[in-house]
Amino acid sequence: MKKFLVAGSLVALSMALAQQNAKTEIQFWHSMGGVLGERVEGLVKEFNDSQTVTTVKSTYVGSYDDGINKLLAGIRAGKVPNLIQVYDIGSRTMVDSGAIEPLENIAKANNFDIDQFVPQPRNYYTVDGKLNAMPFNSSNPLLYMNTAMLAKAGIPYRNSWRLSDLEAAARKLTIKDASGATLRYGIAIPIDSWFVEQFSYNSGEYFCNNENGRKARASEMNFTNPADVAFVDWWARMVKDGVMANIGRSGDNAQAAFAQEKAAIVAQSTASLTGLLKLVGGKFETRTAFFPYLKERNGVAIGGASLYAMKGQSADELKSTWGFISFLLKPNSQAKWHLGTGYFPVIKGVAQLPNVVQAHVKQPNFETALRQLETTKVNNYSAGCLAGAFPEIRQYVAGAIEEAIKGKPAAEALRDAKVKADAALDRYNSAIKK
Amino acid sequence: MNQSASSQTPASVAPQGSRLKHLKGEWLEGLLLLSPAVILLLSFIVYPTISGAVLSFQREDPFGKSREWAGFANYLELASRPEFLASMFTTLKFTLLVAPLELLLGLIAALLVWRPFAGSNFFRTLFFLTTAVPTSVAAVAWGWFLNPLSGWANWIVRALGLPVQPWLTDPSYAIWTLGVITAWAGVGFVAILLTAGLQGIPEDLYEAARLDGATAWVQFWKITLPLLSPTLFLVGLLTLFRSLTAFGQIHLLTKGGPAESTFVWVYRVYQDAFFNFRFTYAAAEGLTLFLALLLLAALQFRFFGRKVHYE
Repeated sequence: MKKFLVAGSLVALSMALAQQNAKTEIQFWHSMGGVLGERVEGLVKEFNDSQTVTTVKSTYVGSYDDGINKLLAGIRAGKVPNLIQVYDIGSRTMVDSGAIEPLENIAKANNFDIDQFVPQPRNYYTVDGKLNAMPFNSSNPLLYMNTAMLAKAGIPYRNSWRLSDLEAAARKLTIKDASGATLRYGIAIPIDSWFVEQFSYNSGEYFCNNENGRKARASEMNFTNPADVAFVDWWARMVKDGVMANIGRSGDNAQAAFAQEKAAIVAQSTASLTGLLKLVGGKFETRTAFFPYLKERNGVAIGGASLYAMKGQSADELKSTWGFISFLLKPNSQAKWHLGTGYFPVIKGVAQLPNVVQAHVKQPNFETALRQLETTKVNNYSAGCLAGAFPEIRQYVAGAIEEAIKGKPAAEALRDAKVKADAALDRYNSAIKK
Repeated sequence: MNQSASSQTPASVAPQGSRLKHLKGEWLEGLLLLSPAVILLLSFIVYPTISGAVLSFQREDPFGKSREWAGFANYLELASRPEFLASMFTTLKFTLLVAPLELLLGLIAALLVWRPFAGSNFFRTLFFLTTAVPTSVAAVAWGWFLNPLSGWANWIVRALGLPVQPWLTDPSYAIWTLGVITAWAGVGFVAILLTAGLQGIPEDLYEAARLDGATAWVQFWKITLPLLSPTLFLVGLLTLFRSLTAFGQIHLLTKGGPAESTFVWVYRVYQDAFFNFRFTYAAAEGLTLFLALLLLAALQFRFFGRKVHYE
């Protein structure tokens, strides 16, 4: 009897092992930390538990910069994951690497109609006429507003803000002491090129030439456009007048300022929604609004990141990689991801699902990002700038904001930054051509 | 004669041969004992330095494809870019603040605690604590402390009736703030080494000086400082290199900003390599930094090394 049991359990064990071996393992690198990381791991686990063919091994590889850096090292060493999350501004580099399998090819091979994608994110990740990546965590910049402070100052909430209206509101919301020192700021925006980029798009300007690098490879930056000069000038003026808090480059500082009621309005990504609401913890009512514009609102580009399938996978691996991607694209996963994070769904029709609609009624802030997206014109402004050396270029733009705050005229600060940025772009483009 | 010589030879050769064998064995043993250090040094210091030097004369795309020889192109670019010169200047400014401050504060701390008194161990531990805290933890804590809106630093300043300060957000402040943070982190290390140095000074010298009626001030200048000079020299060299290669706190607190005001040399190497993906150019920057450090060390040995007083 005992022998029989032992033999039986051995058989069971070997069967379990065989099953284990039959599963295809794919490596997935992502850069989602904190709450967002928990949500990603949740989806991975759900996928792994839902079928017996594929095991997704997910690894948090640090920030977006760390991730793409690790990937480039991997390309050199010939060791890359099957699937990797890369930030929006890495798009040009990823396509130029020649190391990716364009998503459109994989989707076609699996009879997936890419018209199911929401047009704006699809537009962003379409490079040289091809959708290269799966838009995954797509975000927009938003204004987060403390409605209690707004009401007290007699400012009615609305979702669309011209820059001049936002300035008037921020001035009204600012509280100073007798000596003129600011006790409460009207607004806080972390020093980040992303907001300058979005202001271009939203005001109907290109951030780089050749229509945001969409008609042909971008060879020059265009952030000296009138909208950006006005925006950076506005920024510096607001800081000088003690209306905007200069909280440095950290988004965390902006969120802290908002949660601690030291700033009435902050600009942050939709991705911060869940985290920020948690930070506020119901102390006051928070409403989100669209990102500001100069004269006429065009709509913003998406930010966030997308997933790239890497080249050189075996047929089994590619099938498994697609299996995971198509799981993430299922309406159910999309809804879960959207409501769990604040990123918006990238598949059409998800916003109309009953559970999503219901959640939006309960928490209208989730809807703002979607409304902003839906009302965005689909054109090359909102497609967003596609350029190489983008991370480096962003550093120069952030530097220009800081120079302007220090006292340099905005136009001059941006012009100086453009010289450096164009040189960086030039270096990138000439290195790629070889 | 012949016989005696032949009879002598085997007798004298035998011990010589065994000594040679013995020596050879010792040599082998020594090599064996040294090998872990030598292998580590070769593979982690010598090899990367050489391959970095080779890389600095090449050119490639961000993906490591199409690597080719480029002669001095990277070095010429380096010389032609104002950013690089600005970084050198920033590094110099930073070092001129950090190294003397760290040395001075460390010396004061060491002078306070080197003689045992009730609680001296407590204070020694306290001083060393800042060195025991990992850079990343310290940087995050400093970030909170200096937060422009909610940090304690500005809360204290405000309580004193002074205007709040943009510690890390103003380009003319940030480098000094980082300097103080860096010095703060290094004081403990300096204090420990100097305490050891102070304890090595023979007590009888002080006794003799006291008998001769020397004041504490004279004792410090005539005994303490000269006899501490070997340690001071070593510690000075270490603090200099530490401040020239400061990285963690800059990466975590300012990332070279605001307006590139804290873009020190090391940080530029890092950015160009791992952020801008220009490894060959970054290799040229790194190698230039390495040569500059080497030159600085040589100069220090030349000018201060001689003045050092060894008992």
